[in-house]
Amino acid sequence: MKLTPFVCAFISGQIMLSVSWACTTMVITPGASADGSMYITHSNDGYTGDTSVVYVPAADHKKGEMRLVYPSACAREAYPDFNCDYTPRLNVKGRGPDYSFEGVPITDPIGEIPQVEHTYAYLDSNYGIVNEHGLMLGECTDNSRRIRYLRPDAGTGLFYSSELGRVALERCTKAREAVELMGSLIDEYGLWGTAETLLVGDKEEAYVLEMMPNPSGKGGFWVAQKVPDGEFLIAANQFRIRLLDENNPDQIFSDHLIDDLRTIGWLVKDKKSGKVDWLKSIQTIEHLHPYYSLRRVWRAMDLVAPSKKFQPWVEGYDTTAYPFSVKPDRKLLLDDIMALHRDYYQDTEFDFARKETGGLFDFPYCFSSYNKERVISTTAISYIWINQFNDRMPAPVSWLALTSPADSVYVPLPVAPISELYSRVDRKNYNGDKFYWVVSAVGTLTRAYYSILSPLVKETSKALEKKSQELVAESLHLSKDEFNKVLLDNARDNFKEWQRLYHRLVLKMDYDNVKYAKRHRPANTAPTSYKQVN
Amino acid sequence: MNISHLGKIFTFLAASVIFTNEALSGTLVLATKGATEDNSVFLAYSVDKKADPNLRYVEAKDHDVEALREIYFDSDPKQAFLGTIPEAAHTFAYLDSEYGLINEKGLMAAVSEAYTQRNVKTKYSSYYKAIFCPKELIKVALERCVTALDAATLITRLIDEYGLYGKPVSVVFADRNEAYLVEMMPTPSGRGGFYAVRRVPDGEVFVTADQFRIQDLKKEDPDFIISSRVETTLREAGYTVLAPRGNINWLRSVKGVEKKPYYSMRRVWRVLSLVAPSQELPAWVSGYEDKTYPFSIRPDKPLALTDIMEIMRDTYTGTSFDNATKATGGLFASPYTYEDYGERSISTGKTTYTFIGQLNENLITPVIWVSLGASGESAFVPLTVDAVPDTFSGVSREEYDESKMWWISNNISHLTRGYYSALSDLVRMAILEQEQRSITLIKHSESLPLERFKNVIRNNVNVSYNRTRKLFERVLEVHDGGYMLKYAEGHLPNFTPVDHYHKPAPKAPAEKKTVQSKPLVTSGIPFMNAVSQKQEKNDEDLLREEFFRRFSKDMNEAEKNQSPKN
Repeated sequence: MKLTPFVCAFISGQIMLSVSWACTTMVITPGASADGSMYITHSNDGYTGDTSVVYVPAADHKKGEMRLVYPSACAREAYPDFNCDYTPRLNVKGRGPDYSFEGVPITDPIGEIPQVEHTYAYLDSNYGIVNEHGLMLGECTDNSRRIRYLRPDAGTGLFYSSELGRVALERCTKAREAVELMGSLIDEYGLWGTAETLLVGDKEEAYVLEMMPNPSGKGGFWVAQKVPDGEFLIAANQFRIRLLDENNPDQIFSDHLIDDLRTIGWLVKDKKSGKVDWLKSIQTIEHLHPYYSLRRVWRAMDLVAPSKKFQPWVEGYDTTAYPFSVKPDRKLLLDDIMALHRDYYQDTEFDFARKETGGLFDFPYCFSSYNKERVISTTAISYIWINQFNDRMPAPVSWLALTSPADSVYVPLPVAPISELYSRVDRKNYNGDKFYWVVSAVGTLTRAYYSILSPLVKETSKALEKKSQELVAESLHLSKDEFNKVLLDNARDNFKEWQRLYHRLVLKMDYDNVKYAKRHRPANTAPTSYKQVN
Repeated sequence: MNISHLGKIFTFLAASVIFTNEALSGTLVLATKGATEDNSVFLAYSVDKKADPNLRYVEAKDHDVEALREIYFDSDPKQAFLGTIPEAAHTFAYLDSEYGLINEKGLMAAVSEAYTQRNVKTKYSSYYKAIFCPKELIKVALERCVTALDAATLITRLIDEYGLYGKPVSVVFADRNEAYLVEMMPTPSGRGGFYAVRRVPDGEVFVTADQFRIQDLKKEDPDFIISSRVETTLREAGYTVLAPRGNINWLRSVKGVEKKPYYSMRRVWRVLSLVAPSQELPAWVSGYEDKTYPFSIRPDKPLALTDIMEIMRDTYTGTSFDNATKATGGLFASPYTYEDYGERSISTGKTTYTFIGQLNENLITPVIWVSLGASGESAFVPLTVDAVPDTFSGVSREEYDESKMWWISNNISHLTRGYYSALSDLVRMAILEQEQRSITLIKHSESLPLERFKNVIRNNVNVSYNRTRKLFERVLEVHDGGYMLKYAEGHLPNFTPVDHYHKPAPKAPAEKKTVQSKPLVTSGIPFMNAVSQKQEKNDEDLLREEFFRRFSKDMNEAEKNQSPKN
């Protein structure tokens, strides 16, 4: 009976129900994308998320130096005993100028591992994004019924997926290399936190790495599986890997995994094949309620491969109705990928806009109800990225949109210093110089009058994204540094354009322009005669 | 008339229809000296239409003896030249907006439109001899007059002599002691004009809301100024409707209807009921000419400036006419409607500005409180008759400029209206606090010499602007993308719950419920607009319950899984 730590954690955690626990992450392999790029995406869905995007510079290290490992509030909650809060997510030495704050206590490490001679530069957020050599990450938190959550305390493991991914970005250039490194770090140092998924890709290969802490604090459970080239994968707060097969060259897991699962009493085998069912062994049920995860999985798969006629209703969390990955009916454009993350089940039976939830202006979201449909472009999104890399590009790019992408714009960011617009952001303290606050102003106003304002927002983001895509295409011949500079200038232009958009939206709110959405016209209670009506 | 004037007539003919079609619409409230706590006269009105949000300061001037004052269409020198009148030797400085507001001598003017079913031409025609529109009349009065009686006398004389064109309008002039209402509309011929003038008795509160308020022209009552010329013109036009005692009934003679039923009378009822609840005035009447509501009313207790502000911000909260409690309230119980839906409340989303002029013996100079945009979300900021601060002038409705109070107020207002139940209390508290600060500041500065007093007012405008900016930022911070956002009580939308893996059986579509308002809620915070029926359990309760249920289930399962059978 070792229940006490997570009982406490659970009770304290439930106050912050709308925190994290909610991300959507995708892989579009080169063979599945129209331009042959590898795309790895991740939306960070939590209202409390630190929205800063931070450039961590490359560094050389002395022999014998240690790499400190820090806790991450995005795992679940703030850890006051480590001076670890949501914003700023880190205040430490050695991670570049934008993780260094005055007047904020220094974050304490949980532990350390030996450092390497040289670490690569990368873009970071609550989770690592992409490094200068094009190693790209995606992430989602999963929900195991075995153990929901382990606090980073004495006796637990050292790593949560956030720091684990960062170590990979610091040290690796290839996806397989990164998966193997992270697997060995899990084996050696253990995990805390929750069940987790990391997507790991380079320009050729992508893997899904799924992991689960061991309550003993020693080691952890992990499996990686390659996404076949030509296919599309989505994970949405639930494991996607099912049957384990040591003869499957696409799967990577340790030779002691199955024994470990058996020892702890979690091993579940598929009745038909006799193979270990990884998802059922860890029991990664859906978070909050049925279809919290599977609806998003269905939606994305149905959008990319309508010919497969995937059905939205299944028999349980452990359904096999949706395969690990799927070959899209036609190769996906970057625009298609952006649209996937912008989706709110429009034109389906799950569309909030057409129901009472639509309010007076076709609002496509739904606030604060426990058992509601969970759309992809939720209002809780802090930011979303689409990492892109291919052979023709001088450097990788991360298309980043702040807040719900449906009401925001994707801007291609280089792995380069981007602090003026993107770093040192505090969502509780307005700062008009930061992209986040302009996006917040646009999004907040737009969501209030969706049918009136969102067409203008969508039109503007579409035009800006088209321009950015053309710019990237025209700049392929440039050197890495020149390319990155072009992207930075473009980000500044986008910032200004988004400010102008806000001005246009306010102008559009002139009384005469504001009409109720057609399907939501309320009853008009204006008297039509002098007769008393109530 | 010279050549350039002819050219102007040409251009104006094309434009005139558009211009004069623009409805004014607004609510006008007057509290006389004897009706207020501090013996102030308060003259308040809102311009609830798309108007130019700028304020302008018109300087005092001396003029030659022979000088003529030029009169242009719609009081706009860019439009057609219509004629001249002799200029005064000296004209006073005043503040101008859509209409002239207040002059340096403490004469205030306020306007509300009216409707008529008589076939008078409200569009200007070149066949007309009339050269005066109400806008121009008010300016001339502010340029030349010190007292309300002088102003009422002057403009009626000008109407007689030069003719009136434009829509029917009510104008109230007030000075430190007295207030006069002038209701006016053009004649079918364009010669002269119809008007009725009545003094508002001291100690009383008067309201007009886009409808004439004068009923019988009582010859025996010295508060009336009755023009025999107007009596004749009414008779000649065949309009005269007589009241029992042989007096003319002005309202019925000019058929001063409402725009639509209760468009005006509801607001009249509301204002009179708010200031004199003891009168228990009914909200329902027999028709536009109903005499249920007195011309003016003695308030149950003397009014303060903050009461006037509250009245001008009213959206029928706590009554069955509150649009917030109906389907028009949307998900967040907003009291504002669009497309002119629902009851016409006092505060509206259309409002360009609301003014409250204040005069009393202690103030060294008249003060006018200005709220830009919807007054519910925009603080009243006091100004004096002086050069208008940059934040209140140079505004274009076509170009966003965050250095202007207009745009910052709009920012706040649009956001608040969009998530009303979630944001309105925060915004209202900040606004009330800011107004309290201004009130206190004025009280402490009363004994200052004029220039220093004006300086205090100027500084306070800057402070108000900065605080308003901060408030917008605060609203964004608090809203935080919708974090912990809840729908208004009584406005929780139905949604299909996902509790099970099986597809829910198709149900017959439920009858869409119209949210009905509860009976009067008179207690509680006056500006809690989101008053409606309490829902059974709110989302958070449900969420919490569900979590505890699941949690205990999980614990049982976890126990089962973790304790090997022995």
